[in-house]
Amino acid sequence: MAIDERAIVDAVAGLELRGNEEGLIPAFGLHLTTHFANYYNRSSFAVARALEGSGLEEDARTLLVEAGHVCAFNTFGGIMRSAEWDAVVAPMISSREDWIRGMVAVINAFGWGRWTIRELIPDERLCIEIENGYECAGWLKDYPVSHTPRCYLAAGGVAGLMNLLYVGDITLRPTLSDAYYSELFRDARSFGARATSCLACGDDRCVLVATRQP
Amino acid sequence: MVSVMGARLQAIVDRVRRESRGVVNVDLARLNLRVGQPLSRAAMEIPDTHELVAKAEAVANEILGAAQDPNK
Repeated sequence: MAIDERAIVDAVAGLELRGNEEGLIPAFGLHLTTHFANYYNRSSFAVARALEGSGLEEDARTLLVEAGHVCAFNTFGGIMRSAEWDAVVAPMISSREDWIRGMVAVINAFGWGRWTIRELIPDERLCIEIENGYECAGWLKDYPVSHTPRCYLAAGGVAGLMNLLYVGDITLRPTLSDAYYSELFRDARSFGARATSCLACGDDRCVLVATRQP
Repeated sequence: MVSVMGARLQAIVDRVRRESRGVVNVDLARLNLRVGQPLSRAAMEIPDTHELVAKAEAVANEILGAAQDPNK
């Protein structure tokens, strides 16, 4: 059976994910959060903008993308180990690459923008196109067209998908420990992602490409 | 005493790179941001002032110490 994205989106939508009185969403074996879409955007963009012209812009980007790596590891990794994944996505999985296809379908159910896999070369390269990604849509709402890509969290997420599957092996349901994180993201074979196109820069969508880091 | 331009700062950068137990480029970015100078890219162009070296050493110790002790 191939990954049926529509079925996954419908199933996740049917879970009626809503924040409790503390704003937490206990689901997928995690505690997701509910808050304003621009809350995280404005925090991260304030950091990036405060450092413009300081010579430290690249360092800000490194840490903001690192936040995406940590998010991918815990959130995507946690989802792929969850009972909900086993119930909804796992029955559709027939290849290793389906783990990424299934996770992208779940991401689309979350409403972070419309993610499409443009290219997936096993163990080598992942190209994700994002229409209306909330990070860069948020940038354009608050700031002028950017001279540099702003899809920090998504870049970390795309690299994280490849690291979970091809540097580690999320299919074996490993414990998502600090040590395992280091193993996945500091390995000589670790993936990193760069935007080749970005909505915040005036392009019509974001395109993120994950490859092994030189 | 005549200080060599950036030599001590470069030594701190090299130590973080060598002893990092986390993700090296992330630890270097943290060092740069905490010190307020792009040390990992330009240490040799920055004067080895006492204050800056002391600050960089303290930050490096903190980063490497935290990396070695997961409870920190």
